[in-house]
Amino acid sequence: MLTVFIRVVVLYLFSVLAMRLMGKRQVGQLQPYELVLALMVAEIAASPMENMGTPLLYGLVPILGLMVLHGVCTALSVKWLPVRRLLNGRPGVVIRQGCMDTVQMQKMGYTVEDLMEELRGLGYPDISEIETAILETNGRLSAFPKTIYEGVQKQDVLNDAPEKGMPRLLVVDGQVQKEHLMETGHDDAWLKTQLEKAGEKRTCDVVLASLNGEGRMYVQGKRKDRPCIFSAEREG
Amino acid sequence: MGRAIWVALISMGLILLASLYADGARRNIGYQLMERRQKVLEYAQHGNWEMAKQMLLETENWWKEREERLALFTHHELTDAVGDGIAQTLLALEKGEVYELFAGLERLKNAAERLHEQDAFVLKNIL
Repeated sequence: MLTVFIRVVVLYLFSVLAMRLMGKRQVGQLQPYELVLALMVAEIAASPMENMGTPLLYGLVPILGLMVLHGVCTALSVKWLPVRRLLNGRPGVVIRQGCMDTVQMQKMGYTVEDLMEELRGLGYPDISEIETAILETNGRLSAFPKTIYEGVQKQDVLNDAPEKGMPRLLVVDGQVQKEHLMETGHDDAWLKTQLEKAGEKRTCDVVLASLNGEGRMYVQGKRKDRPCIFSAEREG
Repeated sequence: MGRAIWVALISMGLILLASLYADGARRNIGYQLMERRQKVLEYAQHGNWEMAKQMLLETENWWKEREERLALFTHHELTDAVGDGIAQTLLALEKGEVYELFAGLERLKNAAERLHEQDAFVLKNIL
């Protein structure tokens, strides 16, 4: 029985790793480790069902083991960002400022046909209408059209409608996202000033801080009931 | 660490303990069965068939008490093999057939050894 349990642990970890290496196309709507769980549970449960000579515990113990492992993976990925990155991967931008990022697509094993298929599914048959498209960690594509193709809103009629651009996540679970911060053209000192403006003295107390293309800052602290939304100061 | 991790770790510990208990129980029953089978063989080799039969009947009762519990965590073909071995040996003792007797004891030996060694916590089985 102990051997069965050890085999489950080894197989589970191996399967999650294999799914991660296979890329996002295989995943569908589940996170990689959730898909592994679904596949393995179905397979393990089938064996004692069809073979009466196999004790029921040979099906129950591995499934219980998988449930425990899944619980550990989920709890760790909620708690620590590096674990989340390892298990879920990162979303990848496949269309940036209206232009396909072929290097990124190649890295993710995502073809132009796949992209077009997903865009058509989302109601955008013309790729030229898209400003940004992101392949999410669960394998789904999120597409954001260029401003001129968006539905008209009151503020569009009243004001000019500049390109919004993609919001950047600057702090996630207390950790500064250096890459995103650099993409916005700001530095740590600027971020610290903005967080202080939102009433957050320490970065580790910030659950989420993001900056959108219009320069609007969103800061949600751990101990705050409501997020603080304000116009970020330009640098310099 | 969050409560979820503690719950998961405690559950994992409980599964490991239950697995260790089940493995230990199966190995122990397999070992005792081998010892009982050895006694039956020794009685039969010394021509003491009555004692061999009495020992085997005791073993049969002893086995019946444990078979159902063992079947919860052992492949049923294995527990069936032990039952078949005992029945074959007992029939041979009653009929006085020597070849059948040793064939039955051999069958019992194989089943008991598998019971004792199957799924043992060794690298070969894990890999």
